[in-house]
Amino acid sequence: MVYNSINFIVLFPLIFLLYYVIPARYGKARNLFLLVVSYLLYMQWEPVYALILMGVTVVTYWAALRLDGTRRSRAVVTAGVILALLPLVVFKYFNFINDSLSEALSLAGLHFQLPGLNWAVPIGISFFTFQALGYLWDVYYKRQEAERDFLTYALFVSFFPSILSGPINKASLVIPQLKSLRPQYDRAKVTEGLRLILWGMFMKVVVADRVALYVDTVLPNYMYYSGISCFVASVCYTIQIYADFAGYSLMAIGVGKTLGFELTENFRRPYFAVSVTDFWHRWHISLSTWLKDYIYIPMGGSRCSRLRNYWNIFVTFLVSGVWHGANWTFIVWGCMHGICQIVEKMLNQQRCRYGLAGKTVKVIITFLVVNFAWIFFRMPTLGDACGVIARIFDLSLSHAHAVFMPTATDSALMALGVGMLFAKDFLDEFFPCHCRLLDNRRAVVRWSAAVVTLVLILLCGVFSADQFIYAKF
Amino acid sequence: MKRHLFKIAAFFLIVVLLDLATGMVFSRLTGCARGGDTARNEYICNKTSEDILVFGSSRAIHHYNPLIIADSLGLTCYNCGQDGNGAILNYGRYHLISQRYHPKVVIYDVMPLYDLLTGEDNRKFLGWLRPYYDRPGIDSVFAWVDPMEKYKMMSRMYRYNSRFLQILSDCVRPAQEDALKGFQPIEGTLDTLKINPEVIESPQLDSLKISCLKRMIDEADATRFVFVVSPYWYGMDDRLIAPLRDLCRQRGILLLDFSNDPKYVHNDDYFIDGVHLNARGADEFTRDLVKRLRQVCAEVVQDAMSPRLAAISFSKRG
Repeated sequence: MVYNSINFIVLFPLIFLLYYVIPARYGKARNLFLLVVSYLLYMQWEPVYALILMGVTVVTYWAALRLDGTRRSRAVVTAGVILALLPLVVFKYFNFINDSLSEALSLAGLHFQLPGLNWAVPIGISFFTFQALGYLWDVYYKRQEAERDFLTYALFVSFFPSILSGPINKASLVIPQLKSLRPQYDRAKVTEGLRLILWGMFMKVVVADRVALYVDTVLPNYMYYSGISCFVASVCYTIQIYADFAGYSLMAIGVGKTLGFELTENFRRPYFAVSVTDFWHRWHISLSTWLKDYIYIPMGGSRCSRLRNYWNIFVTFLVSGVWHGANWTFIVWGCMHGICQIVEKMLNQQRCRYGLAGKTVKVIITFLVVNFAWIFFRMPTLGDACGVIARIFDLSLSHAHAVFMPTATDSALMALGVGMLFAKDFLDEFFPCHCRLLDNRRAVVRWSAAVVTLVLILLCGVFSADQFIYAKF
Repeated sequence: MKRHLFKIAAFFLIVVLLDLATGMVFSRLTGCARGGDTARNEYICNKTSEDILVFGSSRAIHHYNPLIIADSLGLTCYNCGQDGNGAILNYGRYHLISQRYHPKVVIYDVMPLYDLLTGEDNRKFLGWLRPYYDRPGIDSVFAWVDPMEKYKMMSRMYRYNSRFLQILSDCVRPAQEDALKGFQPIEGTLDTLKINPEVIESPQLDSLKISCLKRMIDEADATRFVFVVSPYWYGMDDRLIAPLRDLCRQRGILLLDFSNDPKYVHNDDYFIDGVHLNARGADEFTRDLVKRLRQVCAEVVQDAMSPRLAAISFSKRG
């Protein structure tokens, strides 16, 4: 469900009220209602792709059940993983693999290419596939009991708040909540959920979509703009992707809370990280946890030789890059993050022991490194990414005058949104017990903060952008 | 649960009341704006009375000097061009204007991307019309663009979305004076870096934009439309305006195409970038245009003096 759409504003109160009309003692009926809603919302986009969602659900459910009491558990889990990954590979990576192979063959003088697929990628496929695979591996490693109730498991995979762009929830977190009798109405959770939805919406429409106006003007036409403009655009993109994705995650977690569920935390003020390693403890936490649990640790993690450990880190972030998209730009982006973490580990710079000034310097350096890597993430080809970087570091001043200046109104609205986001993150990071507004103890302050946030959303939000960046992954 | 739901409802009630109040304040402030884009938009929609109006995008606002047109043709003129906008906004504005009076001539500067072809999200063209959503016929424009817009427009505050700072500053400290009758010349010389021809690889017609142009023509009872394609530094692929040519031929409307005029193509003296004339180029172009317009305007003056004759001539154009 796209949270910044009229559909959501109309449908969500309806779903919310209908859900709470069902008495808490009928837990299964509530789950069934949520499952039907999840599938209907998924089918809003492309009905036939619900079959893929169902297919991945059935395959992993069946494989997990088969793992119980079989001697050939390795074969079962391998078959389950391959079958579950098949739609993802076909829809997302087939064209990329096909093109890359044919290019490689053409270098050797061989010309062979299979016809490309012209199908849209099922929305959220990377998220629900990884969530289902995580469950399967948890059962395989005996961290999780195989779920026998298909309704519960199907709802775990398709739960509508998180199916589009995560968080990628662990079965051990969500399935017990689905199986337990939830309270009829948890007032504190609903309030907290609404608060998260409100702030998430602010991050998306006031911050992300506003700075996107600068990014979308400059970066696609970087060759006509100065290095300063390209650098500002890259910083704007760094802010955009955070506000967009963290805003979405907050709304997803908020929607889950209003229905009485706790979902995985996904962001923890990532741009205050003191190293790239620290950044990954704060950015897309559900994915980095998944990668750690199912790639890094099974490969040996850090309990092996130094060289092997560096290799494990590199492969983990290579997978992260590949997960984000079928393009060399994502692979380079993933490798850059992997290499940075290896270097930090070699130099013992994963944490900060330098006091306030040192910490400030490290935060700025980390921000710039991450910002640099985002250029590869944003641009459509490696050539374009290198073009932007070359333009930023072009010291000849030959393009110095081609600066893109947004209108005074746009600049002011951009500064307002980014300023508020920075202030909130700064206070949450360094003064977590002070200056709380949306969850202040005094009702007057709480209500005023919520009203002002909503007013700012209406007055400053950009409502013409539909989609979240991560929805395409 | 009931008590909590009541509290949530109370919260939204406060927001609704605030929304209504803020909407009223900004509506009043819009009417009071003393300059800038707010006052200009208000003037175009509610106060114009000129004989000739110029419509179009940034190319209209920077290319047509109303003072030259007025001096040369003896008719009053105002430039209603708007940066980054095209047929959708211009139809809405013309619809609002035609509820008050019918200008004698509308000069419409065509830019294919904004007036004929699919491009950016059409919702972005509704911004300047939002404050006038309640006026007859404007809600239809919003519905054509996106049926969901009517829900957004239920919020009075949203009608001033992204413009409230501009409105406040235009009331308190107006930035621009409108001595040039809406015209905004760009001083300076050609910046070669900004000559980036817009390559439209597979142009697709936007049925909504074209239907807005058609509706504008259909609603122009006593207004004569002249479509103009002003000069481009790099010229323009003639195929891009083929649908407009057909439309003009069908409706008997004059189309003046300067896009590949050798006087302007690749003439660095007249341009600031690939698509915009500088002040010198704009004055020169306006003079050239006026020469071509004399004939039309002579007919208009004659029509105005002889209403019966006018009725005949318009029914012939049918």
